[in-house]
Amino acid sequence: MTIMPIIVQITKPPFGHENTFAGLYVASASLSKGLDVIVILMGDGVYVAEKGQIDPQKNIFLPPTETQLNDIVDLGGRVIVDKNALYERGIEYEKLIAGVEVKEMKEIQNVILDHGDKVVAF
Amino acid sequence: MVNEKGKMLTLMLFSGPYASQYADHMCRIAKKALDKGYRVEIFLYGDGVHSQLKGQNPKMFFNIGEALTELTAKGAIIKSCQRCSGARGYIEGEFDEKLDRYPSSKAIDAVKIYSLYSFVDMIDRTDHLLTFGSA
Repeated sequence: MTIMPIIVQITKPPFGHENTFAGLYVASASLSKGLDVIVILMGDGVYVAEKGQIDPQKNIFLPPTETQLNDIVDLGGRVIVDKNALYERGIEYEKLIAGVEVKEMKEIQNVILDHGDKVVAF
Repeated sequence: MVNEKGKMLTLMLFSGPYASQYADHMCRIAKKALDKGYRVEIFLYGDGVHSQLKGQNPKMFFNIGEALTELTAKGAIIKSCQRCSGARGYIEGEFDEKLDRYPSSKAIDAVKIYSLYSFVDMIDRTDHLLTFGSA
C-alpha cells in the first residue's frame, strides 16, 4: 500500500495572516512525526518562498517563514511553487530559496489528484 | 453506494464563530457524519479555538459552544491547538496528565486543549479531511 503524503496548501502571503505560520507548523510537525509532506504555494502564498526576508522576529515580532520553509526542505519535505503566480507577481526564480520546485498549474493539479487524499488548505 | 460506516472524518476549523458560517457548517456536517456512522474528530486551530469559549450566548445565531458539546455527547472527539489557545488566553497552566488536557476555566469541557501533534495524528489516521475557514 502506498502511503499518501500530507499536502499543505498555502494561498496567503507570509505576514498579513496567521494562515502561513499555521500551515508551515502543520508541515513541520508532520515531518517530525515521520510523515511525507508536500507544501504547495499558490497565489500570494508564493511570497513565502522568497529568500532574503529581513528578520521578521526582530522587526515585526513574527516568525521567519523563510527559515521555516528552509527547515521543511531540509527535513525532506517537497515544496512546490505555482509558476503562474510567480509570473503574475514578477518574482524571478533566482529570488526563491533553494530546493523548491516551480510547476505549472496543470502539474500541481496532477500532484493533488495523485496524492491528494489529505489536503490541509490554509 | 459506498459504505462509509466506521470510517474516520477529520474536520479542521480555522476561523472563529459568528464572524462567518464556517463553524456552523462544520458542526452541521459533523452531526450528519456521526448520524451516518463516521467516527468524527475535530481540531480547532487559529481563531477557530474561540469556538471553545464557555458561556457563548448568541442572540440570533446557532450556538457553537452548545453544538460542540452535543457533538461530543454523540461521540465526536474535539481538540484545540495549545499554541493558538495559549496565545488567546485560554490556558492556565502546564499540561495536566490526570485531566489529559491543558487546564482552562474558559474552555468548555467538550474540548480538550492539546499540542499541534495531535492534529497530525488525526490527519495520519483519517480517511477523509475537510478544512473550514482557512483558504
